[in-house]
Amino acid sequence: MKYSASLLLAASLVQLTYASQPKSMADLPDPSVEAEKAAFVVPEGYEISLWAGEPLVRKPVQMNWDAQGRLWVVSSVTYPQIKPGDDPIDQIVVLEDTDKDGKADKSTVFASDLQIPTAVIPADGGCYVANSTEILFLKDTNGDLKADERQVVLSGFGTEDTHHLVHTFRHGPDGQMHFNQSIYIHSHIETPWGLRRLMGGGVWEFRPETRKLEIIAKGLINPWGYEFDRWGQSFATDGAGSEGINYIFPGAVFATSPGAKRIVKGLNPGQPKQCGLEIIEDSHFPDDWQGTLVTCDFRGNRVNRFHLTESGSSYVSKQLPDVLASTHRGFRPIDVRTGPDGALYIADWFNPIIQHGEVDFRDPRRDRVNGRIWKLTAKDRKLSTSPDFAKAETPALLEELKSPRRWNRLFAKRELRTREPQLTLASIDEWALALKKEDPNYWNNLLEAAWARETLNACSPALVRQLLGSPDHRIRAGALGILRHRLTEFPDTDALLATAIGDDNAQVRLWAVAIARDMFKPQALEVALRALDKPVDESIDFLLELTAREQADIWLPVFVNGGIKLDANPKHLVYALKATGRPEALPPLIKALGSGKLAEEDAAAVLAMVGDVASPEELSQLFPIFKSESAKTRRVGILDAFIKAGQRKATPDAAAALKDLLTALISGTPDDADLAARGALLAGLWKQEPLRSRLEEIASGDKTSAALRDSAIKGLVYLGGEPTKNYLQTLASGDKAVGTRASALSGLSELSPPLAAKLAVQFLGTAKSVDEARPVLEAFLKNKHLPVLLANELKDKQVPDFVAVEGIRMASSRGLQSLIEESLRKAGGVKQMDRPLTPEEMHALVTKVQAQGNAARGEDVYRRQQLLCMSCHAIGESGGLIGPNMVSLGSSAPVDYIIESLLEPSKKVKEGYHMTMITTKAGQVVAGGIVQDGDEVVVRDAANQFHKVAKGDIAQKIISPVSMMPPGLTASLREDEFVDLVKFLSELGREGDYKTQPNRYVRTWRTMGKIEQADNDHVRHVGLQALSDRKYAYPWQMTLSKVNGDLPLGELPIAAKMYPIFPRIAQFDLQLDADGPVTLGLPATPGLVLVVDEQKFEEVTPQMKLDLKAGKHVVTVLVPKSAGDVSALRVELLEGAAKVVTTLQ
Amino acid sequence: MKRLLAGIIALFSGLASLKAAPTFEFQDHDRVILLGGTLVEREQKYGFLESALTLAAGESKHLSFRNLGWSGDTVFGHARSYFGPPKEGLERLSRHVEQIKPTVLIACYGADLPFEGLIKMPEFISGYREMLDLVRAKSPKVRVIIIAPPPLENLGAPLPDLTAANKKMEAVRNALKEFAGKQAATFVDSYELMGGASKQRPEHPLTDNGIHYGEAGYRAWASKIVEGLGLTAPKLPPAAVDPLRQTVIKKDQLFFNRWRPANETYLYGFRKHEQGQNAAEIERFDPLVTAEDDKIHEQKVAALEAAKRLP
Repeated sequence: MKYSASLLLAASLVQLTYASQPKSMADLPDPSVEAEKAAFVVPEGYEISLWAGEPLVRKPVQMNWDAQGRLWVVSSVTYPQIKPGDDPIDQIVVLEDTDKDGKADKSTVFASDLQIPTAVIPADGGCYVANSTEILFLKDTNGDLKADERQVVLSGFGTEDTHHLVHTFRHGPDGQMHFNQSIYIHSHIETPWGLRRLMGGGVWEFRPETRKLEIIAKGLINPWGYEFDRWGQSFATDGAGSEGINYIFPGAVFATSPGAKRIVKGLNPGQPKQCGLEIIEDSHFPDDWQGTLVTCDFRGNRVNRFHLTESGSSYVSKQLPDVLASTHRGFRPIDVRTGPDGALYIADWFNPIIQHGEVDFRDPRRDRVNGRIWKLTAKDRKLSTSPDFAKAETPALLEELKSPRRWNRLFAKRELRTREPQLTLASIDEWALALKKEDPNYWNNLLEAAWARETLNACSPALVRQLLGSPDHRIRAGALGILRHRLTEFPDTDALLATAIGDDNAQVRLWAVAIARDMFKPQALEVALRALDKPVDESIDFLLELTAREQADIWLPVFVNGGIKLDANPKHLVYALKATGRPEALPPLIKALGSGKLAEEDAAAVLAMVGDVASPEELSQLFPIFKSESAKTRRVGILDAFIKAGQRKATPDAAAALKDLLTALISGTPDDADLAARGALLAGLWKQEPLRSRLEEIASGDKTSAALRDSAIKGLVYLGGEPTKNYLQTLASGDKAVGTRASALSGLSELSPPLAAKLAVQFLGTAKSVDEARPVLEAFLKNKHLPVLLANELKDKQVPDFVAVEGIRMASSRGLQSLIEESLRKAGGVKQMDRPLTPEEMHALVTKVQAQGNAARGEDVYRRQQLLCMSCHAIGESGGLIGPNMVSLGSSAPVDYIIESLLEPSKKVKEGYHMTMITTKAGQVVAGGIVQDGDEVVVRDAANQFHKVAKGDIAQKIISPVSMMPPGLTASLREDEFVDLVKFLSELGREGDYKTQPNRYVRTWRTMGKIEQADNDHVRHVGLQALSDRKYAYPWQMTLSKVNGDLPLGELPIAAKMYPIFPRIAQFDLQLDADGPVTLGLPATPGLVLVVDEQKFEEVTPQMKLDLKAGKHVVTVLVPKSAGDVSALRVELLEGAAKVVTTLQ
Repeated sequence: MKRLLAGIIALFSGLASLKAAPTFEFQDHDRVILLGGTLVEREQKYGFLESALTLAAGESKHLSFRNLGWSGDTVFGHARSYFGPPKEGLERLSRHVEQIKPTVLIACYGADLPFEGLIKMPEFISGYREMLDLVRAKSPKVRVIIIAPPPLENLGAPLPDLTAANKKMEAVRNALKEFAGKQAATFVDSYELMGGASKQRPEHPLTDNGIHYGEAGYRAWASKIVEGLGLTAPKLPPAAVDPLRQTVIKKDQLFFNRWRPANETYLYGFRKHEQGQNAAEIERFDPLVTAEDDKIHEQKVAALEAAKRLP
């Protein structure tokens, strides 16, 4: 099947107008089956047909087959909320194809009094159904396929959001039942094994005959897809997450689980949201489909497929070409199952509105009547046939366990469950014994035998032991999956665990850790830690750490009392104790540190914990370690831990030792400056009054290094009191080096802010350079209180203008400018650029531009919206066209010319940019630049509007002496800002950073302004491709790249509610005249998402090759919040005959 | 004279109750709330308890019942808390009490304690007291009935052996009995009334999982609670009670969607700004629930009238 990206993009172009939710009743899509069928885009070699539609089924929510090939479907017309006065009328229908013509022809209503049911699975002679707060077992006792017995099996599931209700019933290969719940649900379930509470999303497993209910994994946002592979590993998809396939292992915790300390990630970060999951194991589909995962992108109206490759204990997931796509926005694939004939059956909820978080519960556009089951078949391949399980003899049923079809294996086991247990178990054992070892599927067959016994809830330890010895690691991992549930039936679990934890395969080791976790005993953790002796990947690390942390109450007291040692490898000890984060874990760690056997990273981890939690007594145990020769490289780390502890007011016990240590560190000429600086700080933190004089010596010493001096002053500040105050005052106002005085002022600002402010103004008044002033300014900009004090002191005082300007800049970058800008401006006499200059002033300013101007800051000034520079002028290809292009201004115009043009625009006007005033015969006046001067004169006015005047209509045309650039545009600038602006302009076109490069950078962008809730909801509802919808009125703004091609991201707001990526969003239009490839060069920013029309690219590489059709394409780049402080986005057209044609309208 | 006579009879029956079961008397227009975990919550699926108490109260008394049971709930409000800590569960309970203004509270808590491994009895009792204080703060004159959880059933493998747990349930009962006395609450020992600490598999199990009743279980439990309250059930064939019971079930269903509506997140929770406008709809359940209360009363009167005509 070839299904290239270009085909997708071509299809998506058509779809653009359909992508969004309908805006009105008139905007609803045609609900007919024909319209929906016509809109499918089916890959070559496959065909789609309707298997069941209305009235046989309406609004299907979830479905499962029974062994007879009947499809059980739950459907809800009540969703999203029952109306007062309405009865619960939601249904389970059973669909059948009685005449075997490949279409359903019979629908039986099994139950019709349900309230928003969200899952059904036929089993145990009836069916289980999720009915809001409860799971019911409904049974038909008289054979009319209508429920006549009802039992509440479990209750207490939350209903906080009706598309999160307990859902997705599946049978595992071992006969257990599984179901999921989603993010807002809080469930409190009483079982005869105790209470189970699950807050938020998660995966449950349940064995009906024992009523044992357990949580397998927690988290995920709305996981409506769950399925097992051939070896018993399971996977989930998430209808509101965006990480594609998620590997579920016992104990895994995914995003959004309340209180999670750490989470596991999905396998395809950046995927669209997906619903339903099937793993193809049926010969009706080609070989390369076998074992692949099919899931539904219900927002994007398509069905996706993924291929997994083992990687360590987990997997790598790769997306394959789509299974099915549709341009019909009512097509909502939400569940997908392989049918009795091997075809793929897709439940289509059919609805233009997908949920109720963003759209009113009673919105009339909600579809409440339609719903379909579509069937996808491979054209030239044989359909599969299913055995009659009920009629088959037990040996024949057992032979079905060898089938490559999961259908046959699953239903054979379901049927075995209904037969006489003792005879059936004997048959299973006999069959297992007779399996041929030379059969390439021998081990899979044996695993099926073990699962068959599990399905009857009767484990055979011998069989499980055999499987644990398999040469195939997937079988061994599967066997551990059985052992997990049968711990009490194996007397030697400790030994089995020990073997498994030493396995060569990472996934087997992961399952070994899972078993250790289920054993809830200290010895199990001791063994589990051996996983650290082999390569540890993310999943293993996650589960091991979780186990050590969650079960600290179980093993830590035993360890403390010597019950377990954890000394097989120093790594084990540090890992387990560190995982707990508890103070009582610290003494053994300190002991280990003292042994000198810890690896560098482990020692660092221990010291970090010491800083966080160590008691005074524990801190004093570090003294001998510090002194020991072997710990020499860790001395800085130990002192840092002391400092961290000291800042939370924990000081080592041993007073004498303190003094000795510090004296050694800071007396005489310290031979290690790093240690001495820390020692000086600690002398203060530990209140070593006798060392005060030594600290003063260091602080005032002329040869002391700046770092050591600053530490000594900080130490004195920690010592505090009048003596420090007096000393710092003297130091600050004396004749010491400026750096020393600045440092003293900084220290004084903590102890005596008003006095410090007073002295600071004196200091700043005499500062010779920005560098001198900066540390003092810094000291007064560290909170909101100090700038006010400094501002008060500045009143009627003077400081050099560069100090004032630097102060204003620093305050601005800290958001404190309102507190101090005015005072600094006055004290510094900072000029405003609002008048013509005298020749002397001009000369001085030109000098200033050369000496102090900063082009980078100047570009920021240039880009300020209120200055309007960019509205009228372009630099190269991007910008306004009213004024001259600035691309080479600096290389052609002298600085004084630039200054004059800014202050007095009309003094010299570049030819061609004079304002022309046209008076028409009708008396209208049009003023602007002449763009075209023929029979029709086209004038561009200052607002970039075009006016056409026929030559014959012109009464008068005069060239105005006045520039179109209004005077006073720079009046709002301070002199320093003006200087920077001029510097920038004077650099334009010169060799260097401000010469426009020939690279085809995208320079014209639409960037997303502050997004409204409704727009955000729309995007979340439809998916990121909704951003490509140019008809939707997002708050787009035009933004231009900088001269170097960077789009500054700091100027863009974060879409703070656009869960989960919280992106900054920038978009551009690409125009192609003919079909062809286009390669975009993108930054290697992690998590970057690219959306081209309807296609979303989750794995963005620095070179993205796109096959694009002729025409206009919308390209959106989303920079996730998780990317951190990425300051700029630069996108380049590396190859392809495409043009950037971004417009706002 | 008639009143005096009634007083003397009441006095005597009061004296009698010192030795035998207590007598609880419903009053006209009593508003009764039911509190507890799964056992109480699921009662609304069957309606036996409400029906039995309605009938036992007599035809002159118009009662209304509101089942606020919640699976997995504790005296600390665990199950009622949605997104917040249990404390918010109690705050929610307090708001419900404020709306309903109950005159009678029937509470059955403690069934989860035997599964906690260690019985945290002191915390449980002090939590129970605080919960009652919270209800009394809103409804000072509320009369409290404390029901001891019924015994667990040993149904045999593959279900777990609940012998030890049932023994612990006896300790829960003892503590509750003492607590009820201190609280001047009416105590109903449904642990003893429903069979106590039997180790054997019951011949006719009332539960299907050892801990939760089905239809037969609720039928039996309801009549034992009536007995435990010292009330007398009118002699009526089950068929005569059934229409009343069906109305109770319907009323409970309407009320459930009123007090614990789905989509809490959008109606009242942190996404209220998106779909909170839909909450207005929920109040439209109120008249529907009240109408069913009245219908229950009429059906009760009719059933009791019919009972009088029975031979």
